[in-house]
Amino acid sequence: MNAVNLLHLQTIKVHKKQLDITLEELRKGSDSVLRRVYEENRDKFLNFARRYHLSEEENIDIYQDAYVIFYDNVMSGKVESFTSSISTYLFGIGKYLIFDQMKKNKRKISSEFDLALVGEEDELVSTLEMEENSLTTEQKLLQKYFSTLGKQCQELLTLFYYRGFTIQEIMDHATYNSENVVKSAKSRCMKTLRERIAAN
Amino acid sequence: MDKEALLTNYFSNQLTQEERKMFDELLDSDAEFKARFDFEQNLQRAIKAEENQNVKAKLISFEKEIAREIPKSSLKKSYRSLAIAASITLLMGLAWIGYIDGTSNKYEELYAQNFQEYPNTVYAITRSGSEESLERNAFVAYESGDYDAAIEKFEQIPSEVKQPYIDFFLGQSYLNAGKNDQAKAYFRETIVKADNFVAESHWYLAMIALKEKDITEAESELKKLINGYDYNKEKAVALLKELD
Repeated sequence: MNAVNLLHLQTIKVHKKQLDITLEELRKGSDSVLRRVYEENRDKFLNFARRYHLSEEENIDIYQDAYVIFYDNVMSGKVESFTSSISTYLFGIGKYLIFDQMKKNKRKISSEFDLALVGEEDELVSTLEMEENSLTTEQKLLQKYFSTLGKQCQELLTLFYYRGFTIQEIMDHATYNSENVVKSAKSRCMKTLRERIAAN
Repeated sequence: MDKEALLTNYFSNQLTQEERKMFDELLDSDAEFKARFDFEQNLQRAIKAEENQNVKAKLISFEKEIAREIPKSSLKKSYRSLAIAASITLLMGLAWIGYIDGTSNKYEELYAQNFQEYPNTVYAITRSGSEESLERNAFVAYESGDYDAAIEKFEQIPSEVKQPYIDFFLGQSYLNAGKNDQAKAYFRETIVKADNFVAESHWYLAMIALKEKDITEAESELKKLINGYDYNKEKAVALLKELD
């Protein structure tokens, strides 16, 4: 292997390592990391989005939505390691959102613009969850009563259902004494939630 | 393994293949299990929606701060008024030149005002690796503005796998590469053969006619567009009026 290749390889390795750290940092959910990644990719994304002739406001909105979806997938463990750079994920998700927005603006663009053509799924994005549909009545009810639960219940359930923590990880994170304690705390929270909804 | 553990492992992404099979079978056969799963899945969706709203709210506040941190707005304003003044002068100058030079400049200007390259709306390029197809490569070239390469690749796509929209993007590539005749042929082909991009093809045929100062042709294409479709209708009406 010649020197140039070797150097190249090393650059990639260093680069990858930095990305991994960021994934871990992202997972921890700190606001400063959230912001840093937001700023680092913002201009690149907006430049990319501009070619689709949406308004700047729409582009910013789409960037934020793409970021939310990406972050959600990092949190739930769907993105386990970065196989691509963060911006590639954002572009991939963003592209779908842009097409979606163009579809919503349909009348402004074309009456016969067939977005079904876009259908072929991007492999990278297809491993992600992109739920954009609005909540069902039951889900809205759950959301409402979830917010009436005690702080500890909310935190526990969020760790489990949003962050995708295992029972063991919740035990370590929130200093429960044993896995069984976590399990029974979770059952109690769920029971309260069910009862409140039933009483609705 | 009990049902409780199966559900827990599902939500923490820890089902083994075997467990996944049990899980799926239970979903089919056990109504109570299914109901529990639905409840938890709905709860997950509700919590995610809540968290996503929180994240979105944070991003909106970052955005506001970024806007504030760029204190060039006042500077921008004075530049903007300068720019407006400059464009007025330029426009007056152009009007003068147009007046002297007769109408031909007017068409060039109308073309410049109305022509925009059509973005790739059909093929998501980010799709990774597995399918290094001609179509993908063609759209990569198209998106990066390398129209000659795009043409070469689009043209190589065998007819049995050629999507109906390819002709339209071939037309676009030729147009952007400055080859009007080929562009016209592909747009006409699209109008005859495809279900999509028909209105768009009329629009771009009008653009080419304008570029070539063939006003009768431009008017004819614009009328077809206005009478049959909504795409760029307002622009087409305005343009038609200008040509009159």
